[in-house]
Amino acid sequence: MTNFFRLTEISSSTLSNRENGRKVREKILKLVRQSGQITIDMENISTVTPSFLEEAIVKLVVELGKDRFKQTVELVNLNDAIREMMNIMLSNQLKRQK
Amino acid sequence: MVRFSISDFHELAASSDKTKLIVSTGFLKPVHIVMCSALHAYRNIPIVFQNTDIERYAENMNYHAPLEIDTIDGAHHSKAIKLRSAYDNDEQVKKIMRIVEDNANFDRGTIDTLSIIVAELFQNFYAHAESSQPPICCLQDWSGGNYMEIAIADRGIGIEKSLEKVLANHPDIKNPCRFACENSVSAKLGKGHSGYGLYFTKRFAEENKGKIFLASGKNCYENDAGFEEDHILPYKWQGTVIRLIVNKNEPIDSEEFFRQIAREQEGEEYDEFF
Repeated sequence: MTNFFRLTEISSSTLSNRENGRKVREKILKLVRQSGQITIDMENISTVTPSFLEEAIVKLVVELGKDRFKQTVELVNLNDAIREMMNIMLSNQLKRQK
Repeated sequence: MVRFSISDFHELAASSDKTKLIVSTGFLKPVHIVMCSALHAYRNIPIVFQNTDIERYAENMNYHAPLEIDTIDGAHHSKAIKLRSAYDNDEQVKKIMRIVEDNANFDRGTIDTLSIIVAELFQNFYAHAESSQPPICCLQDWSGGNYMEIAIADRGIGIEKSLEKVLANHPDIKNPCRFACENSVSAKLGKGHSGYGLYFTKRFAEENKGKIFLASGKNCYENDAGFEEDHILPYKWQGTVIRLIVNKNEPIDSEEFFRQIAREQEGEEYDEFF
């Protein structure tokens, strides 16, 4: 079974601080443990700060590992700017780990 | 036409000792408001205005007692506002961005990108100032002009102290403010911070043909639409102050903005994740 998590549950359109990012990461990890897989819906989310992404997603990739993250977490409906920002952050993080 | 330059920092203080600040400037900009406000609120230093019109304007902008809530006054400026906490500034960001939306010729993507930058700056001022005294912010739009200014000041430890350990490994760095605006420079790198706030701000100013000034201690870094300069402040600012000058007539392509930065990085592509 795949769990479904809408980020608009956290905020209507803006995701902007580390505390919220940490809460989201903990919730995702809980849902992954429950069902093995999760789909995160970012529809209508227009503003996401690097601090939020660092806590919610980048740390999650580090915690789960790249392969397990890809197998268990699916991000949908994210806008192109946020997608590119995540690319920047993940690319930098993985470089630092090497 | 409103001019912005390093001379704005020179103009602020006709003379200053440790007991008072005499303000001689004939035109009070947001950067002056937040600096006067931080000095007055956190150091209890009296501000003496040589020009009574300027003093009245400064009073109206709440320099003497920055408000914590309900700060927007009219369509063109925010009064001096004390940011509320590291985790509770979304409403302040929304209010600031409402003024930008109402007065700049920007599309949704540009508004969202600037919103990301302002929210990240607020967060970073808290994270790195190591001070219990909240940063102070002010925004002004000049009706009929081409620019608006967002300024934030704190009385924290400053950039040089914050980056002390990082700078120890880079003895060639002459201006910590310029260094702080580079990609992935953070005092807390590897501890959950990645150093994107100032870097994205600088890149936005370049793309938008705007400007940033970042000052801390006696160091100042200016980026005027991609043209970079280092300056020495005429006085030492204990803490950090930033002014972002936004060009109201230059929207950016937000997707291309982040894609270009991603392309410039050597590394793996992560599109496959999403």
